Amino acid sequence: MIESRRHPDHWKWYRFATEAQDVLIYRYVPGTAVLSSIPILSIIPKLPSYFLNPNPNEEDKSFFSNLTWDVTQQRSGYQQFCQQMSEQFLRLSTEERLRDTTTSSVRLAMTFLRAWFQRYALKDFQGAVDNVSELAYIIARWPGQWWVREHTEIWDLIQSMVHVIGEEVRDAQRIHALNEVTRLQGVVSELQLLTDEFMSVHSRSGSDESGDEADPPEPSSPVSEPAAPLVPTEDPKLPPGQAPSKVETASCVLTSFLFGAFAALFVVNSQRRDLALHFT
Amino acid sequence: MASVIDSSSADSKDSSRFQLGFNALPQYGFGPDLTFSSLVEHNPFLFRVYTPKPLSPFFDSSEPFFIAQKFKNSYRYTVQDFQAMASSSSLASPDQSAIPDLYADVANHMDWTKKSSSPFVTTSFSFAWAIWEATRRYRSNPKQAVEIAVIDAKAVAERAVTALELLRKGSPKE
Repeated sequence: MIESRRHPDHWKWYRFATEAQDVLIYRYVPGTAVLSSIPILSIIPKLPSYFLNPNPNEEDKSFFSNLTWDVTQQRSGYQQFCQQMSEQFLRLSTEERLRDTTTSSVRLAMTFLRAWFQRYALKDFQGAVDNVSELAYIIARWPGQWWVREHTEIWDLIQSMVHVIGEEVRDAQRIHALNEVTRLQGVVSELQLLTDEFMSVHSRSGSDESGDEADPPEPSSPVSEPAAPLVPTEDPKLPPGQAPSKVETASCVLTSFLFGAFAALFVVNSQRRDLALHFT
Repeated sequence: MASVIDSSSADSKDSSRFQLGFNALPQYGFGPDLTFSSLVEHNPFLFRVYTPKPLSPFFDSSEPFFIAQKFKNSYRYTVQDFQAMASSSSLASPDQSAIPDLYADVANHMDWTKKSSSPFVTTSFSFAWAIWEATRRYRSNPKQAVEIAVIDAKAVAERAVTALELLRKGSPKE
């Protein structure tokens, strides 16, 4: 009864859904659930060695020439693909298998989750390490579950590798953040310098104008003058306008001081007798 | 010495929320366990092969990233729209009973000619299948970009089911 109501392709769909381990999500997948999205062309160079041809054809320069399976085969060929990859994995030496189930698996897992990992390494370090380790372990056990199960050290090696990568990512992000803070501090200091310079030049220009109103207007009027310091100078220690104004100010102060001192001495000298009489 | 290594190794595995994979899925197909709810614990990632389209510059990660064909039309549904749909339906509970188990829905999804009326988004537990399928699609049409999205399976667990669960029901209620 049930059989008669089934679609004629029911068992074909059943086989496809079984092979592919299909999961159906009802209605939608929110952006928050999507950890990453990677182009297939970025994934292929990061595959473990059992996916790749050890002796690639030098004449065939196509992107898929390194792959060991026939990418043109129909959907029904997935099971054959799995068996082929397992056979190639088992033909590897123990050292090569260990490499493919540790470093190569971590590499592929990082390729899948790099952007997510970099976002979460500072927020939840252990959570980020655990997630990438889990994916790396899923990748590691795919070609030969029994082999990975017999080599219990693989899980520990994967975790250690991802932990080290995580530490490097976290430190790199901290250094980047510190460098950014230093750079921004430099920008703020430069702006402060420009503001001081503007104030200094503006006040000096104002006093010049009030002192000599008959002079024709200079090209560097008080309005346009603040733009001049924005041009970088060859010697950062001597911003344009900064050193001359200080020298002038110092010279004025020194002249005033000397002039005042001479005047005081002159006055004091003229009254020295009176003072001497006063104090004695 | 060996026992010390073993015990420390065992401790690290026990402390981890990830087990050694004895409940893992096989290389292809399923073991005795077919249900999403029991498989998701040890298989926390889903993979989706798709051709990306440019996102709106105003796209926010809280919006739907993938939408089932049935709900793709001129109006772009928001998460709030879908939540309102769920609450207005008679199957408003937040568990898997919210997923319809009509054979027609699964049949429409699996049948390429009726894909446009499917209420489901296809994903897979298998990274290897995603790689195999993505290379196959890219090879058949190199002009179209093909990407693999990695999805947090637990984040969609309320609305996810294995295709086999629905196909196995196979007893149409229609």
